[in-house]
Amino acid sequence: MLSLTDVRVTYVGARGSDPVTAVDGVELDLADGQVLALLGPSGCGKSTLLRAIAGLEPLSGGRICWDDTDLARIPVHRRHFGLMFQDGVLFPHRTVAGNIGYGLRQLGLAPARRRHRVDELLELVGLPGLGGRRVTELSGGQQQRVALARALAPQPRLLLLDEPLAALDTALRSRLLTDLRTVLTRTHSTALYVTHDQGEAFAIADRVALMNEGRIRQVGSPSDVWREPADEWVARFVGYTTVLPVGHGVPGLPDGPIALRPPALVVDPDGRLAGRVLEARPAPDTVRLTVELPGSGAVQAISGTLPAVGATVRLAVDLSATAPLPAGSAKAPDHHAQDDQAPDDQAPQHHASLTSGTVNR
Amino acid sequence: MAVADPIERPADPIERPADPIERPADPIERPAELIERPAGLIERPADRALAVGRRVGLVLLAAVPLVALGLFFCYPVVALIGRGLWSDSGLDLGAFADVFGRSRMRSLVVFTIWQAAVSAGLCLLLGIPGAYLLYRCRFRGQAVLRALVTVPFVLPTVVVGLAFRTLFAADGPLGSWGWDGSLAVVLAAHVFLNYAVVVRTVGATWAVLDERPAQAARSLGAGGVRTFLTVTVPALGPAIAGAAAMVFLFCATSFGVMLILGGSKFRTLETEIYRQTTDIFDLRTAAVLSITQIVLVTGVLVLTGLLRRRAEARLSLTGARAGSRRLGREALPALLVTAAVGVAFLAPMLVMVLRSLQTPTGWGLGNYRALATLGEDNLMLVPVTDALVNSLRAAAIAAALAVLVGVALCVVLARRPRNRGVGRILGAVDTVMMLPLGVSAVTVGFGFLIALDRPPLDLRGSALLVPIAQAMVALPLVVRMVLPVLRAADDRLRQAAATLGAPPLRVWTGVDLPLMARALAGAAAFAFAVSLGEFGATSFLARPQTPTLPVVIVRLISRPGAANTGTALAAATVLALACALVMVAVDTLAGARNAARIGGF
Repeated sequence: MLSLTDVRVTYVGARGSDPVTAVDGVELDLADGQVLALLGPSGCGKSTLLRAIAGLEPLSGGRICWDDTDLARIPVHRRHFGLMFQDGVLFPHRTVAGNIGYGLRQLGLAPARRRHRVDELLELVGLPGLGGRRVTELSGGQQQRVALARALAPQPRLLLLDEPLAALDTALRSRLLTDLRTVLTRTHSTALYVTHDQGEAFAIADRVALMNEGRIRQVGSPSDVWREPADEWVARFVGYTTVLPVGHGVPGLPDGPIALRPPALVVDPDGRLAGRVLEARPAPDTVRLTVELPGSGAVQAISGTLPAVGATVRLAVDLSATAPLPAGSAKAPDHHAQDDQAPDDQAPQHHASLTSGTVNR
Repeated sequence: MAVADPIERPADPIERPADPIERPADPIERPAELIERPAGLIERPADRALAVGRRVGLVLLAAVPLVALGLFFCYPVVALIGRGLWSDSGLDLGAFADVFGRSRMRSLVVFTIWQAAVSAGLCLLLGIPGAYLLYRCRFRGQAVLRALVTVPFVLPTVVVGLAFRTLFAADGPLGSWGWDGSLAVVLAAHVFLNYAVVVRTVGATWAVLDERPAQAARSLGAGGVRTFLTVTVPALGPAIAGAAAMVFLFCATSFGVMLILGGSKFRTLETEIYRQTTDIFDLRTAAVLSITQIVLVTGVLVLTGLLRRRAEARLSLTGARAGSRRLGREALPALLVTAAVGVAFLAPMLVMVLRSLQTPTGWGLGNYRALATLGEDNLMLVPVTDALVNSLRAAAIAAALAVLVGVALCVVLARRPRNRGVGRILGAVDTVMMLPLGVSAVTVGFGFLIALDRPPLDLRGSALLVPIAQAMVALPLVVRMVLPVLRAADDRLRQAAATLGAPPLRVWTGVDLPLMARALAGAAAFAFAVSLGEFGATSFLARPQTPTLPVVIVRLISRPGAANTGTALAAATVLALACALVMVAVDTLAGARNAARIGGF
């Protein structure tokens, strides 16, 4: 199993400036056979952490251990940690089979067994019979499948995946995500999956670690994180759009800081709350509203019909779409409350708009 | 605002039972282990040794080229300068005042800079349209044209000088222009020699230039010319400036062309150093002129180094075909310019070949038959054919040396150290290694003679003397061709190989070597061709019994007599053919699609 103790990675900054701390005291454990997703916005240090585990970045502090062996002095090529990049990084001068077989060659496998294993993997990733192709002739999705096969071929102790689907379009991404999950399950891989997409993370991982500004903010199963986000930043990153502080005074909601997804407030003629519609936008299966609640500011809500802007609507509360936050982890509502960008494809902006007041530094 | 630290949250996620992903009830059996691996990772003594060995190896690798440069370049040059400036009473700095007190010497420096600048400007003017046509556009036969354009660059300078002299001689085909012995012929020969530098350097960048900024400019209302001037030229800027600096250096130190075409009328620092050392034996003046030249060259090199680093940062090996387009109306001006250049370039070569077939008794191969003789009045000690064999042998050894040393250097220079101090040292080494490009080959050659003639380094009798000098001249070209490819290679390819279990040396043979194979082949060919035609240094070092072909050619044309001139022309044709064949062969081997990737400097 992999265990990280107080891991730090610092970069030399630009001339004259201070060193940049990319990874700042990370503690993390990954048991054999588990898939852990490292989830965070762009620039949070998650890829750097992954590269440090692979042995490609020197640590400036802490320890990375595999089964109690400190990896500090073990060179990259002896760790047998497979690494898959965002854009494949296939060897351009080798064929598909040549790429997949590269790691097997290093193991000293006989050619016949190597061919057999390559075919096995081509089958596994859904590209049977393409071994002879040049990698430059493959589509983006096929290249990523080959990259996965190449990383899996030598049966790595640990598979490190660095945003493996980020460069693909949406439809392809969801199809490959399903395939990737099947492959990881079938091969019983121990894997660390870096992504900025919470949908991907929740779909593929046994556990999720949320990372921001070089630190781990929360580790837990997807449902734990979903039900009980550790703080406002985590809540917003996984899709909660409204956070109400202590003493929010909204009837029907428990007191204390609480995070709400849009379906937490539903337009209902019998609802206990009343508010004025500031904005109404039709979404695929619902209408998304921004409603001003007297005394509580703007909140997100959903509706079955499209109300007029400025109209007063009544809202009912659905507690299943809310999550309590630990006391003291939320702040007074401000303009961020109107920020309802979908976190899965807007992570960087989301992050940028949140850093001003929510981060505990 | 008191916010709870999330890390201190008392939740232990491992103990939670929730497992949102449904694992198959009956999972497929885990495949058997491929090979026996130790159960855990254990640090081995070998890991430690590897880490140390890697450092030591890199230092040794860096030491090889540095020692070579120090021994076979710096030492001879310093020895020559020292011989001139060091007298019994110590360092003789008054020599500078004496030499530059003479107005002739001052105008010599001005003329050297001036003619090189004009040559570089002309090269840009003619070469940029050529770069556009041959690298940005796409048409049939392009690969052959690219190879042909490169041929003049590798032609021996004495051959080019001879060809232009024949063309513009009073009794030559263009004798009526009255250009014989004029500066125009010198400039034309310089453009002829260095046109390829601009085309290949600018073209290599242009071929991979992202087309979208230009399209964005068009969509913002900029016209074709305006887009070219405001978007394309700035993007090509570093490449253009780098090419211009290269041409400037080559022309400022040009020797063979100046010697043959300049006569006694036009003298540059280089030819004057030659005259002072061999004719007048005034080493004091020669030393002052050498130092002046080194200062000039170093200044230009530092400037080029800065520009090049900017250019390399933008060079990408991917999407080489992205911006290419079919020939259209907008290519017409480039087409016209390049066609005119092509005709102008063919003329001197054609005249040279035709004249070589002219004998006193009419057309025929008499001049070529004379190659096997000792020349009129037994002018030479060995026949020209022997000289050709000497040339080929020396060039092959020189190319091998240059490639070996150059690759060692590139491997070290291509590293991106985390330590900024080491990075600065590498940058300095990078610039210093370019010095042989611009420092007078005459200085090097003569320095060899006076520095390497006594123990512990007595190479006077060694057959390696000529190849070593030639390798030093060719080394910068090898580095300039191989280094950008290694630098542009995605570092993650090496990382991918390492995570797949390849130890450092295997990463190098499995990733770096295949990636630079083509550039290496191109560099070897360039080194071979340049060594074949090298004249400046070789003229000092080749022994009378084993001359090289360029030395023989100059010897033949320095003597009157139609027969000797005819033999010289035949020999020049053979030499030109040999150089051209090497270049075309390599460009063809590299393949049409990838030709763009070898050859920027």
